[in-house]
Amino acid sequence: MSLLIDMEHVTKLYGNVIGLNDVSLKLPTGVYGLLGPIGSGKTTLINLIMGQLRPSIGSLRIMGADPSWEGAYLRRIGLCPATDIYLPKITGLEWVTNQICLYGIHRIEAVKLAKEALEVVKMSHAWNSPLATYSLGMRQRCKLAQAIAHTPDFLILDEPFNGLDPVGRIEMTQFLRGWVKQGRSLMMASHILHEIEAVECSFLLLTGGRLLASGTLAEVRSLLREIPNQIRIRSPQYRQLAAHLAGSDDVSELRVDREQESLMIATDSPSNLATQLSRCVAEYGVHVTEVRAEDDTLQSLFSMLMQLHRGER
Amino acid sequence: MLGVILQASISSLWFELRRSFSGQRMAIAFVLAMFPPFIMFMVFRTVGADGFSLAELLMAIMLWIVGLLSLILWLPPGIYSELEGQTWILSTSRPYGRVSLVLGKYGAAGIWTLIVLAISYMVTWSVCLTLLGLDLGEFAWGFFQLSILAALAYGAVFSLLSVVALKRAMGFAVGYVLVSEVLLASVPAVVQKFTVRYHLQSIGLATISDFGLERINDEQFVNNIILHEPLPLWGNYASLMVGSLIIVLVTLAIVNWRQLITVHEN
Repeated sequence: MSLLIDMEHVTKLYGNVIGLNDVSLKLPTGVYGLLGPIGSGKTTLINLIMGQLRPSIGSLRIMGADPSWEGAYLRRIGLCPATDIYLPKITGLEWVTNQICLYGIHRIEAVKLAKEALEVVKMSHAWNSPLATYSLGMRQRCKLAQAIAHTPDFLILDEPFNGLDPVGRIEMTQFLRGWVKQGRSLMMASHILHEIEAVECSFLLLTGGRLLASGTLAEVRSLLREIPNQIRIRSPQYRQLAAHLAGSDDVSELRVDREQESLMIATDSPSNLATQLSRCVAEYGVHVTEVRAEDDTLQSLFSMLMQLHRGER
Repeated sequence: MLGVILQASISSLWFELRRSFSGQRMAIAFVLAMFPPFIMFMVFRTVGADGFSLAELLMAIMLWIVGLLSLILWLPPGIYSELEGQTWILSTSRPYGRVSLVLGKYGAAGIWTLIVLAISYMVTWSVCLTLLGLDLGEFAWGFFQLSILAALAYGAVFSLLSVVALKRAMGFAVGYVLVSEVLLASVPAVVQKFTVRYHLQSIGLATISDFGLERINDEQFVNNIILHEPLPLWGNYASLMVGSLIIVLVTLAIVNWRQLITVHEN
C-alpha cells in the first residue's frame, strides 16, 4: 500500500527565499498535526501536497501519485484552506454545490452531497442565505463542508478552528475525532496547539522551512530525554518547599512563581524528585496542592523544541 | 477525463454567470450596450449625414469597440481576481479545476459580451430606423453573427493574457488591441493576416450583403484588404477558429503548469 505522503529531500524555493528546506517524510495513513510559527513552511507544504507548487529540488508522491503529472489523486483529497470566502451574493448551498461540481460530479448529485455535508457541519438552517450574511465561523463550516462532501480519503485543514466560537470548536473537535475513527487520514495545520492535541495525532513541527521534529507526543518527548523535565509544584508553603528542595542534586533548576504560589523545577530524575517531595510533605508538613509535569502538553513540547532550535536550551 | 472536464467547466460557467449578476456588472453592461446607439444618434443628428455606408461603418466600429471593451473588462483580470480573492486554491484543489475555471470564465465572458452586443444591435437598429430613417437590420444581423467569431477569438487572446500577465493583464489587453488590432491590422502587409480584425473584416465583406466593397468609400480600408493575396472565405473562418483553439489550448497548458499562489501567500 502506498504511503500517504512520501517526500524525498524536498526543497521549495521562491526566488531567493526558501519555503521548504530539504524535508524528507514518509507518512502512512494517519492523523497529523502541522505545527509551526508563521512563515515556517506549513502552507508551502500544503501547496506542495495539493500540486499547487512543485518542488525545486527533491521528489514528492501523494498517495502514490506524482502531483505534477497525475492530478486525479486530488479526487481523494479534501482541502479546507485558511483563506476566507469573498462571494457575498452566493448562498452557502450554491457555493458548496459548485465546489463539488468542479470534481466533475453532476449538479443533481452535487446538490445532494452539498446538503448532506452542510448538515454534518450544522449549517442546514442557513444554506439558502448569502455568504455575506454569514459569520466567520459559518463560512469556516461551509469551507469544511466543501472539503468533506465528496468523502475524500485524506482531509487537509489549514487553521480549521479560525473564527469558531467555543461551541463550534468543540463540535469541530468532535467531528475530527469521528473522521479519524472512520480510518480516514487527516492533516491539520493550526496554531491552537491544544486543539490539535485533542484530536490525538502525530505531529510535524516545521520552523524556518525545516522539519524540526515529527512523531507522536510521546515519541518526540522520548527524543528529548536529556532535556530536564519541567515539574510544577503548587503549594501555599512554596517558599519553605523551595528552601528544602534547592540543595537537592536532582534539581537542576528551580524557579519561584509568586503569582501562582508554585515552584517550577527542572529535573533529570522525576522519580527521585517525587521521593524528596514525599519526604518534605511527611517530615516538614508542607501542604502540596498540585504536582504537574509541564512538558507533557504539546504546547510545552513545542516551546521546548523551539528553544532548542534557537539554542536557548 | 473529457467528461469530467466538460462537467466541471459547465459548472464553472454556471457559477461565473451566477456570481456576475451584480448591480455593478449590470450597470456596466447597460452602459456598454447603450453606447453605440447613443453615439450613432448623436453623430447623425448633429452632422445630419445621410450616408448609408457611413452608418454601417460607424455601427461596425462602435460595436467592435463595445465587444472588445466587454471582453477586456471580463477576461484579463479573471485569474488575478481569483488569486486576490484567495479562491484560487479551492479551484486548483480539484483534478481539472484550473482548466474548468479558465473555460468557465471564457464562456461566461463570451455569453455576457454577446448579450450586451445583441441588446446593443437591437437598440441601435431601432434608433437608426425610427429616428434616422435608416434600416440597418440585415447588416446588424450579419454583423452580430460575426461578433460570435470575434468573441471566440478575442476571448481566447484575453484568456491567454489573463494567465500570462496576471495583475497587468488588462494593460496588456489594451496594448494588444492598440498594437495588433488597430495598428497592425491597418498595415497593408502580410502581417495583418495575423490579426483577428483582418479575418473578421474579410468574412464581413464576403458574407454581409450590405457591407459589400461597392458601398465602402474608404479607399484605404479597401486597399488594406486587396493589396495582397486575400485568403479564401473558409481560410478566414479556419484561421479564426483554429487560431482560437490553439490559443485556448496554450492557455490551458500554461495555467495547468504555472505555479500560482494567492496574493495573501505571496
